[in-house]
Amino acid sequence: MSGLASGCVYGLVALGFVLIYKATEAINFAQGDFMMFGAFIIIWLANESFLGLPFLFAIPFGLVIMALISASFDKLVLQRVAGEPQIVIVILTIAAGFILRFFAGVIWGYEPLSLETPIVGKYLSLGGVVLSLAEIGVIVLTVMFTITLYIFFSFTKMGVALMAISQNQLAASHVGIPVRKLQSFTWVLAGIVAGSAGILYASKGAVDPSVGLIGIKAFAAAVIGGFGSLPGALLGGLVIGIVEPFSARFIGSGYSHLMPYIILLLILFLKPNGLISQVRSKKV
Amino acid sequence: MRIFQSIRSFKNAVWGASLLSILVAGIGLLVIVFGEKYHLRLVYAAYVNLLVVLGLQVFMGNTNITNLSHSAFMGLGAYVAAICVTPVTIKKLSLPDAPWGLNTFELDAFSSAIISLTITGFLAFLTGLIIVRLSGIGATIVTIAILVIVHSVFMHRTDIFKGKQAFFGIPQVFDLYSIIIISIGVIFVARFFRESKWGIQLRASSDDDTSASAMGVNIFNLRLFAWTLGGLILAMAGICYAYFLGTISARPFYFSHVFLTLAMLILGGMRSITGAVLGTIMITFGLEWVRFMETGPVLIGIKFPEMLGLSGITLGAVIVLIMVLRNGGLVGNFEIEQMFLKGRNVPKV
Repeated sequence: MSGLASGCVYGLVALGFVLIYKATEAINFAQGDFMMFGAFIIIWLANESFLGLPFLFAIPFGLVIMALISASFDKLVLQRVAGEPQIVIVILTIAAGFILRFFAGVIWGYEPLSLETPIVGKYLSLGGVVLSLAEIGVIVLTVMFTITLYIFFSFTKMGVALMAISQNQLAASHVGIPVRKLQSFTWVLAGIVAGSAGILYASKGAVDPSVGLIGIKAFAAAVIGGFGSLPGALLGGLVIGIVEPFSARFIGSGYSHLMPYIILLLILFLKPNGLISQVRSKKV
Repeated sequence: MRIFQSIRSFKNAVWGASLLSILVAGIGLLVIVFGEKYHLRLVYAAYVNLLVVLGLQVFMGNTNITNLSHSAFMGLGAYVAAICVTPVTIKKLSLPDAPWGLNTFELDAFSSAIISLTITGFLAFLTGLIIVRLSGIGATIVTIAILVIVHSVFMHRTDIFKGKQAFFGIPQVFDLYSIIIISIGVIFVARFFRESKWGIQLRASSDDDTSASAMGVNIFNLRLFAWTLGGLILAMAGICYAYFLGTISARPFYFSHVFLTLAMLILGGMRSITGAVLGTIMITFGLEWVRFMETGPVLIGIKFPEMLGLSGITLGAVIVLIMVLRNGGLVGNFEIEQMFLKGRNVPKV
């Protein structure tokens, strides 16, 4: 169960990677750090020791801040290097991650903090199985979030336009889709997704500036699921979330966090397009 | 088979590498003559980083693929050499449970270095087989995976690598003179590779892989060669690191070092050896100054506040600014000999 919950967080961060990748063909290596920053912002807004805003008010507020950060990163930095080789964006986003980590450390310190939500630390006993309410919350929220995104991409005009961009930017701009605008919008969306992942992460465990490194695991998740596929990203996250605790039991805890990368290498070797391949659907 | 396209590119390579060597050796000698003991260690570390940056340049500068695993290969080089060269008496103490009889032999420094280069080079070759098959971003992802996997093995096989604890007792083989000589050698190797026909073909393929392969360039083999050569240089950097410091631990071979050396390469300009050397020098000196500011010094009567982590943000900011304003780095494609050979011998860029 706890594996499922952390899988959901990985899945959401992976979703952020995939969103950006689909719309702009770039990879935001700072996605994990965006999540970490989102987690800190929500802690800062909601915890008693900081601002202590009511929880239900703090969440939308935190997500808006994350959306702003993400959008301004796109606006101020990435749009200036549009058209440059991919390596430029790769390096820029890695650097952005470092800067975020530094700011989080300076503002909120390097000690782990956790979010005080109404459901943290409460347990539910179901037929002898004790379940943490926070973990159930994480899973439920992720499912709801995914359904919302799915509806957005399948049924709204904007979502369909984004799908079109991800398949062929040039053709999309020829049929009158404002590609640049929608790409900026994707960054907003990715910021919100990162913020949500941050909230979930903070409510199920402690956060410190280095947790942004789970971005790398989420990255493995995105690749395992097939880069460019939204359900694939979540599936990849779940696979990693579940494999980790199991391998900890069977091959020793030291190596359990190697499993995501070993799976990653295997997938890249055996099924280079990922579990849910996007290549096939592109041909249609 | 000719290595160089023309005698001109060979001459340029010799000129450029010699000028850089004079610069690099000059700085080192100045420090040896005027520096204090504390400076010697700093400068030695800077030379190790120079080797890392050059190893990184050989692959990244010629293929345009971001590599983030370089510190892992440096670590492998350092550990393998350290395990071979450390005296048995110390190993019995520090690695009592080492498998495969690792604590029952000791070799001289030279053979240890050769073994380390062989093993690391072979591992680089194996990982290279995966990496060269992938396109830009996929390859970068795999390099991250390699970094994390190698680091985890260092941390958790404490019976061999001692993990977080220090691996001690490595005899001090090198001094500042030795690493200056090695750096000069590596500068020549990297520069020759850049100007060789393989280097030129590789850079052509990184600009446009379709037309390069249409011209008969075998991209896979060239990338594999560059990757393995880079791995060997990185292993050399690791060996130098271990042979001077005497103690190593897993921690320095991870993200912060990856990022530091990446910033050095990018600041100077990853496409040229001059850029790699320049970036290393600038960041090394710049960071020393930033670290001094971090401690909250009193300057001209003004007390500056203590700013921990300032060096991290400086690196990040340097990278962002360079990438946004001048993404070829400070020097771009420029090599140092072009300053002196104006009008002659200089290929039009």
